[in-house]
Amino acid sequence: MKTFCESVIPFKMPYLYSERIGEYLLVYKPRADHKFLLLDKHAQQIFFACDGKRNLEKIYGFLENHGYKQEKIEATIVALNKEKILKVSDEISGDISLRQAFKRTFGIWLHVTNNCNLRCSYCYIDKNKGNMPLHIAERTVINAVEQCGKFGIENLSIKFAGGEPLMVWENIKHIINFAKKCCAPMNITPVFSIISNGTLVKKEIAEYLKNNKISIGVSLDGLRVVNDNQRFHQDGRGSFNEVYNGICVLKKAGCRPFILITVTSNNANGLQELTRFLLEHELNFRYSFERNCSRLLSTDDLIRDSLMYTEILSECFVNIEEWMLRKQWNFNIKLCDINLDRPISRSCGIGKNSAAIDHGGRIALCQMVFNESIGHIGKIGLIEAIQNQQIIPELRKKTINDCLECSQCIWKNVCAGGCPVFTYKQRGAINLPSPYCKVFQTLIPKVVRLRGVKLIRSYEEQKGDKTWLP
Amino acid sequence: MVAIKNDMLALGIITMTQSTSSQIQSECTDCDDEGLGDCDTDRGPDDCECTDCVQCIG
Repeated sequence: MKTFCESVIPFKMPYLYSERIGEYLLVYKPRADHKFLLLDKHAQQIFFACDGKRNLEKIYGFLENHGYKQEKIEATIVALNKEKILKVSDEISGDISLRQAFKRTFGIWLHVTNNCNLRCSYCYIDKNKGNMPLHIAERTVINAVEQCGKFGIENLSIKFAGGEPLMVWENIKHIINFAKKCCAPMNITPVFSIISNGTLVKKEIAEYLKNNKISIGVSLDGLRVVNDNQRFHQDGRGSFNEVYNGICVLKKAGCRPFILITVTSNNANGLQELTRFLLEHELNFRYSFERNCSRLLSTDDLIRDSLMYTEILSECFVNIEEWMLRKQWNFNIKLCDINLDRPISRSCGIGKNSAAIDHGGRIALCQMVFNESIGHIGKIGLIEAIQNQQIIPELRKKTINDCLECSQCIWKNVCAGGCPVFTYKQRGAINLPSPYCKVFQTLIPKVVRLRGVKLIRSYEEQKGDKTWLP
Repeated sequence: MVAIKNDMLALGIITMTQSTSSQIQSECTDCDDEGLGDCDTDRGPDDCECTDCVQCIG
């Protein structure tokens, strides 16, 4: 019995991204379930025969003339229809449920100190010697836990930052223990992470992080002088050697730090070298563009930086692909806030399910706007403060569809418009594309391609074929 | 490496298993939320968002 009537005209689903890699066709669904598929040459021929013009009868005839059996053609079309690559019949809906049984999380950025041993050129924190007193930290945790209970949230993510959070390491340990005690009776799962410059990592700290499954992000912007030109001490000394030592200490303890690279016009030319270094050390990393919210970028600056970032990161992605062909490791490389694994409509939780708390207990939408407080942890619940905030009220309901240009973009559920605060500060509104939109549009396909190469390698290895080269 | 789904291989369609896909998603430990407030309404993919984790800072 035939699955489909032969008069039906199958067509490709809209908003598919496809690219040829070696003999395979990579197909990615950025506007649907974010799934990656590879089609071999036979599946490709059947896929391309479904051009939206021929009905199934003609497709069967055409392909049978090329040596395909109808059973295999039909089975392939059924599979591609099931995978939502082709649409054959209205009886099978093109819409799929993308909602997944994720637990809900509230995230807080805990600015445990306003002090830092470095004076990085692009840092937006107005630093001084102030630390967050423990009573403020405890009050913040209690506030967050109470709010999670009130709003039925299951996970509380606490991110220790500053300043340099490891300057108050003893306080961090105290807060972690306190938060665990507060969360347990409420059946809330606390998740901890640290954003560090990596210069103060000691064996004891690394072992604690490993034993308590606490993730750590370490900033590194280049090798040696490239890093040191923008990440340096108050007296001008570079930080590379200390950071490298910190990374080694973490790795020795069994931690795998996530490397955070801030891409600026000053370090862009050193990114290829840094990328090779991180690959050799099997470190996961993220490229983030500098987001200067204190001054408006001129159009000339933006064009210059965008072209530079696009060109250099394109070369980095080529290097990564070449590396993947020679070496094997389960990498995780990110580009800004883009998310290839599941659809997003907001690039982060700002204005909805995250907040930043400075060392004095003042609440802000995020750490980039600490100077625009939306309340104090002693006076208002964190989530209520977010819901009532008037700094950027549009954030409460923002989705990517609010921006007409973004809503029509194939990548809208991959980048979600980028950092809304940066866009707001640079362009005066949040419902506009990111100033770096063109960079994202160019680079996202290159990140997608890396996933395709990873999938091909896995398949070829599973088959036992070690000779494949795309 | 990712685990390859077997049921479509004979047709020349290669994809990863759902468990591998979920594992990749869970690499970003804090990104698996659905937001607050009205997120229980069924608004589809545009309901999804990310709570920035250690990988997501500027």
